[in-house]
Amino acid sequence: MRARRAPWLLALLPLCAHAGHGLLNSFSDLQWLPAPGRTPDQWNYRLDWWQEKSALLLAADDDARFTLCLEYMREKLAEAEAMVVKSDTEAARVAVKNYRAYFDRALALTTVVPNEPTATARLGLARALLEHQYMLSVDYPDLPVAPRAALAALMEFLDKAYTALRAQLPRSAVQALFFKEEEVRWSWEMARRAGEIPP
Amino acid sequence: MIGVRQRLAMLAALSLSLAQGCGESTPPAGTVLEGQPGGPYRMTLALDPPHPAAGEQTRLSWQLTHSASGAAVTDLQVLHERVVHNFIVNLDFSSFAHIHHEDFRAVTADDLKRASFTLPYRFPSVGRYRVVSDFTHRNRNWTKQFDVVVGTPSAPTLAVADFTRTRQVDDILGSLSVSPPIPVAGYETELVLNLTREGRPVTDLALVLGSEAHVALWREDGQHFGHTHSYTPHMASMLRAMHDQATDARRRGQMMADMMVMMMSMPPELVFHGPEIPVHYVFPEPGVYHLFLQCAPGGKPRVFHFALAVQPWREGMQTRIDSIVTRDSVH
Repeated sequence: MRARRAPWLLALLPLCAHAGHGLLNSFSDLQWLPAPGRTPDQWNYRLDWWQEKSALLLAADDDARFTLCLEYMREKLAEAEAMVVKSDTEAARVAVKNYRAYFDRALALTTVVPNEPTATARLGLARALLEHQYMLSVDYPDLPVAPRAALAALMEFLDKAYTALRAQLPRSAVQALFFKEEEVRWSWEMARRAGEIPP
Repeated sequence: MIGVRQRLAMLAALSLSLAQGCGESTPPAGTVLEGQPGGPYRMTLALDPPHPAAGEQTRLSWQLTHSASGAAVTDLQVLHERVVHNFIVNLDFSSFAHIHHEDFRAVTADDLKRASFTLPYRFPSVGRYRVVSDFTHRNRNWTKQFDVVVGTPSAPTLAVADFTRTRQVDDILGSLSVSPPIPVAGYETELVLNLTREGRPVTDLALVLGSEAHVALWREDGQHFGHTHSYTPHMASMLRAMHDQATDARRRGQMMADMMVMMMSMPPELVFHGPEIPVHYVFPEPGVYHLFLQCAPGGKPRVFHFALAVQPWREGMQTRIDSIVTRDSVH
């Protein structure tokens, strides 16, 4: 594998002197994950669930519900990471499961709103998936080895979900996401290597 | 259907969450600023004096720690000859500085151990400033930004964009050409700075901090900071490879990862002697951007400030680049 990579790399050698810090940093304005707040290993975690359900129920419209789903996805991701840090695999799985539930809800909402908002919502969800993958890839190597498998599985899910969603985006949106997609790819590759997980 | 008990429980949960919200209070403002966005690293900026005055010397001191452990980030990488690159811009874009700890004194082993860096700076006028600090750790580049108010600005900050494409700085005339002519958000744009001295092409460019050009840019609202450098033929071939959809996506990721690791440790090389310096950039969002291009004709660093309007993509828009680097048209 190394030998096959070599010619391509040799061609790039001189480039490296000039490629700079800003060559690819398409996530520089990224809002990182929030503090996890209540986590699945706490006795009152159920309260969070009720609060989220209530907020979704009382939301003014589907637009507001969609925004809430995106917010909760970020929260669940933060919870999942926090649980992996505490090596609580079971609690991490609960957070991942909840993340996927909010993703499903958000995805469903992109199909019920009228045309123009649907395209915007799909693009918003696609961007969120890329951002989540990027953040996971950055944090991954520093997480405890055994429990982080839950996040590797989530990463795989996100990749597939993004690919499916991408197919429904207009050409302009897909092109505008090109550099983010590529950065996620190499970032995850760096995480794999640093984390020494099997490809 | 939601049952009565469930509705009551939801109402209770909602009341509790509202009560929690009411109990929150805004923390008092301090003199140590917290770099944004958050993430795996925490960077703080201390100002001395805490309320800078225009024209007076202010000491700026940064400290970088791991967010999770609070430990200093002891193994920062030197990129473009500096450990941390700092960009200070008045948010009306009337002043700009690219400044480093090493410009004033060498970084010591103790500085690195504490991940603590400092420099003196005179904010030139009253106003709202943005400080962006750029560092590299584990082959990844990170930026943190801070907002500093100097004096007591009397009115909201208003930026004035001058869209003309020539600037005279000392004896050097800089002309900017752009391809495609109207930059489109999400697509590559080639910016070429053409330099003349007393009507004759500049051919004595020198490297500034390991590159022919450093470009710092912000959208007019202060968002979407970017920092990039001259665009070489080798970089062009790399981007072509990245665009090559015939290569498996995973493999492209592997190749990029290899390249990113290697590029962090390569020695600088002067490729462009003048008069043209090409730069490529992908503007992430539409809007008016302010660009500060720093280069060193005859070895003396100069900064050229331009404004550029970036449009959202629409059907039929020209996104083809007529590149001076490849002399070929590339998408």
